[in-house]
Amino acid sequence: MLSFIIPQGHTMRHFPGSDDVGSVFYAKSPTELLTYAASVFPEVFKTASPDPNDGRKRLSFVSDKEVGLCNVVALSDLTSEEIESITEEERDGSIVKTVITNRTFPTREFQIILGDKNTVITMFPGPMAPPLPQNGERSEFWDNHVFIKHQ
Amino acid sequence: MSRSIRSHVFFVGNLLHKIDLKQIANVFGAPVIEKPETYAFLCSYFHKSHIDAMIEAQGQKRPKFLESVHHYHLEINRTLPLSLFNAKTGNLDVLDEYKMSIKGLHVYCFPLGITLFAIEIDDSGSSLNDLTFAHSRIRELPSQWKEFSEEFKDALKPIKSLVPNDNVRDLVSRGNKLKIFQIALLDSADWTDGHLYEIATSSPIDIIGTAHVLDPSDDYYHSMIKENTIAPFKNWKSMSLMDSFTALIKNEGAFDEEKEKAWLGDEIRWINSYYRLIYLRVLVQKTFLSSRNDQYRLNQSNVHLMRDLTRMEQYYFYDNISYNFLPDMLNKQMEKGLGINEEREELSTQIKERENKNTNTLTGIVSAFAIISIAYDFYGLLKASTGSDSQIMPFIIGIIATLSILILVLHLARRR
Repeated sequence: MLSFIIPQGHTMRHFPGSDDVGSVFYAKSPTELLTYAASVFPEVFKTASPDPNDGRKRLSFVSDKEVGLCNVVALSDLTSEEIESITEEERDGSIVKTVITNRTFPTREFQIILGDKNTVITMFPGPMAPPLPQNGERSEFWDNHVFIKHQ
Repeated sequence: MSRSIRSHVFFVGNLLHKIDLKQIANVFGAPVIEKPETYAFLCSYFHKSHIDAMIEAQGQKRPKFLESVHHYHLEINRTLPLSLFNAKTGNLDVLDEYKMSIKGLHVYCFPLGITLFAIEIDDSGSSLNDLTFAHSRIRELPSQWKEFSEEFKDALKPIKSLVPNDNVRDLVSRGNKLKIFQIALLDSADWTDGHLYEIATSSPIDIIGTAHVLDPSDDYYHSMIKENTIAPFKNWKSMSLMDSFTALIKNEGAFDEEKEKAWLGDEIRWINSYYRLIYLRVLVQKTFLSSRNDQYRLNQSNVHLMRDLTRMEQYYFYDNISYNFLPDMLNKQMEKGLGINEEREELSTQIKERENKNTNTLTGIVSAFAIISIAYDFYGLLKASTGSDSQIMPFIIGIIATLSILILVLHLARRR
């Protein structure tokens, strides 16, 4: 049996009904997603080691089915017209690339970050993205990925 | 880690209110009507009167009292992960080692408005620890409904729709848990008395001899194993308790195709005969007896008690139900586990008490008439000896008669 603690509030932001415009799971709630993840990938949870820097467990999953819609996509997934429309904007003090499109980007990837006693810190669909670059730093990931904005 | 090779479980509840058959049929479809050949087969093992009391068969005319016996079945066949979430603490338990396939839902109607329902689950391949944890929670479904996942609750919607106002607590009208009937095929190394006790009581596995709060005392454990189990053959042993019936079947060596076939035969027998025809019968007995005993304890009148009891005795309370020894043996074991004899004795006591009260009432009536008669005779004697024709004496007789009737009425009112 795998046990988790799900704090109220923050973890709901990537689920249907949230006001957040970011990536969103198809699962209706964190309990539904965690139940799915823990029953399909129990070994990932059982063998995960905490990050020595902050004690958090960062777990990456690739499901055999689509789990949600991602709002961070690789440049290679965009059409040439979309690439031409890329603009830059400031987000959380960083300059990021954004693209406006009507397309959605389903994903089979998702991430779960757990703290002490398997307390859920966050979970989101899509790849594990590094922190946004600060003070003009370069990031290979963010050089090749853009945020989606829907029209 | 110990696992069940094969396991099958029924969680059985009883519904307090009488349900309109149309309401059940709307959700579950037409009732199950057994084919004549199935009926004939069952009648070759069990007495016909017993089969008529438990199933409905094509072309079989049943006594009027048994015409309300029906079985409704809805296939579900959904494999789901089981998780439990406590919204207050934010704690989520995912039973990743519990392999749950909800096979179907059943509703069983019996005379006198007794309605049972069952959730049928195949949990083959589950770790025994997750299996007992899952059973301990599912049997408390009516009081813990909110903790189950939406997917699980969605699968049980047809059952939930049978209780008024979706009040899931009414899924158990008597007691606080669903009853469990379970069979499990275990590897010979896991086929131990300890595991039988732990699975039967939905306790954590290998808890016996630890300091855990659920670790039974030696005396209790040994008395349970001695008094509540039977093992007529070397390859299985069963335990019957108030809340569960559990049969553990032993598997020696590799579980190959031949053993799989043998298991399928065993499984059908345990489900179609021992669960369907015996365990449910004992639950009908239990439901009838405990409801009538409750009525007495709560001082509720039941003018039909004797009539109902006579009919139930005729159709559901005799001991020999089969031509073979094993069904009768299991019947006795299940009755013992559910305390049927104790309930019957209690009902018998209350009937005697009611009879005593009736006798007292009759005595009261006779006494009242005797008083009136004595008073009238006394008046006659007085009139003859004095020669006077006093107008006050009839008045006194009237008062005595009124008082007698008043006492009688009060006595009857107290009886109610």
